[in-house]
Amino acid sequence: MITFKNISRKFKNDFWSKSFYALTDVSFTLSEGDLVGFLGANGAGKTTLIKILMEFINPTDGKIIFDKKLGSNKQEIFSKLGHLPERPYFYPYLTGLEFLTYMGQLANVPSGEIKKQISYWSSKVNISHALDRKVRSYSKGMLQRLGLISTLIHKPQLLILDEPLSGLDPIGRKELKDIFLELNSQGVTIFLSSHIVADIEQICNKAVVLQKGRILYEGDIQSLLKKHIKSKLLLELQMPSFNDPPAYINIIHRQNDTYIVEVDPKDKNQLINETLSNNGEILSLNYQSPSLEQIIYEIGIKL
Amino acid sequence: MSQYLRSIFYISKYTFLEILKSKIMMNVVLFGAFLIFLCLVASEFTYGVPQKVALDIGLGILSIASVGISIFMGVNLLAKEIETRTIYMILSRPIRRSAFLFGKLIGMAQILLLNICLWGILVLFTYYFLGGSFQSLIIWSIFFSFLEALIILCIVTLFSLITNPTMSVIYSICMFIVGHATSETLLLVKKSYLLSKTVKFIFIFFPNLSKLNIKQHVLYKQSMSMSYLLGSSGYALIYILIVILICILIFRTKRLD
Repeated sequence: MITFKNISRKFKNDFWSKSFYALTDVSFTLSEGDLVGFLGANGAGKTTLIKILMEFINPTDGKIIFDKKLGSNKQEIFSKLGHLPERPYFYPYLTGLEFLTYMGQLANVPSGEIKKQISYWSSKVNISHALDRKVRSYSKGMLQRLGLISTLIHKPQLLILDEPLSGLDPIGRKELKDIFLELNSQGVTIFLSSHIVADIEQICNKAVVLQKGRILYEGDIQSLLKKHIKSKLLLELQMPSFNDPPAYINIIHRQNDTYIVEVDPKDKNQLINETLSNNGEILSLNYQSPSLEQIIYEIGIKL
Repeated sequence: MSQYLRSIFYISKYTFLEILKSKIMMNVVLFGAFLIFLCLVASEFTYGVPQKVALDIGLGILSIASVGISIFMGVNLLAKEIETRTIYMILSRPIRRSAFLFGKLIGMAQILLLNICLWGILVLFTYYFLGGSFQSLIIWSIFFSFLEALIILCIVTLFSLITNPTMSVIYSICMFIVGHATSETLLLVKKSYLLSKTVKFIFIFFPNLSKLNIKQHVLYKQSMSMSYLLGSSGYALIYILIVILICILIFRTKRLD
């Protein structure tokens, strides 16, 4: 759907200062129907890349190629695209309803359809009660919800969301994540930037990880997780008298008579037998599977 | 209506609505009351021609206050939009940057027109209340104040595209002052051929705002030819158009970060 080809972006703070690269040779493809998480620490270059995609700034090098399906010119492409900037803020003296109507009209949505969409989405994100209020009285979470409706009002095929979950309470985050999954199941491609890895791991099927302006990883989240599942097993066990632990185990944590130990799969049965014969109890047994956050952290350190 | 014109219409409509609902309009109403008060007080200090003093003070303050509002609105037109990121919401829609700029300027021009009409009515009311008689030149003078404020609005927008808000305000005020001194300066240097040509060349870039200042003619009830009035209006409109075109050329490639 969209191909980022060798995107680089150089910035200069002022005339005398040395220029620096916010993005270096960033290349990846966003395919139709994907729900892609765009990960990176603060200052990694995520917002810069989104600004380049939205043509707010130009790249120093490289180009973005839009699929012909989206259209042949900017107007056609942008009519099929929904963008929510980071920490959105809207005209404070307009009411929520006026602002949404304005956004719908700019996207050439017929007035009947605007009303229908506003009514549908405002009840879905629980903001119907506040639509007649001026935007300046909205909380951060309400602004985020209002922004999301304005992004969806013209039924876009592609969503570009910059930190859409920031500023929301846990319930709000869950609601929005469910909406993203629902939209994606209807065929909407979503490119979602976040610095919170757990959110991306929960809902996205692909991830693009950016570190200091360079691509750290690009691809499937599940295969990345599978690749990093450790061969060792984690056992949580209770042993009243575990004075002389066997050499084949590695005690990771101990609290009174409860232990978390790491063991090789081949020694698993021996440890279980020993525990049971010593009047112990097995509380849990799992393969060590690191979270996406841990994996990304590890990849980042290796580079 | 084409999509381009529709975008301009919606942007101007909501710009107008947003400013109308803001506290600026409350200040405008308060300032209007202050304007009447000032006209009445000033007229007390004269003997025989209070209506003339009220008109002089009223038109003068109307003109300066309109320019003040223009500078205030113009300097915030883009800086505030970028600072609050509202511009990203608008420009991520299928609209052109030029439509955004046109829409914003038209919306602000509507606010200016509303202000000037409101203050103009108050000035006229005070003038008639003190015994003044109608002259069409008063309406022309108010209209010229609107054109002057529009020129300054466009100039401050242009400066805000290439420099920071503080410098934009300073440069615009300088343009306003120089614009009013154009005719006098040309009279001063007319004896020197070279200097006169140089000053004339420089003044091509500055708006000749003295063309739009007909207050003296209004006060002394001097008649003015229609060709002068139309010519001055035409000059102002062409100047505005050129500045807007330069603004669009810059804004089309401006980095919005």
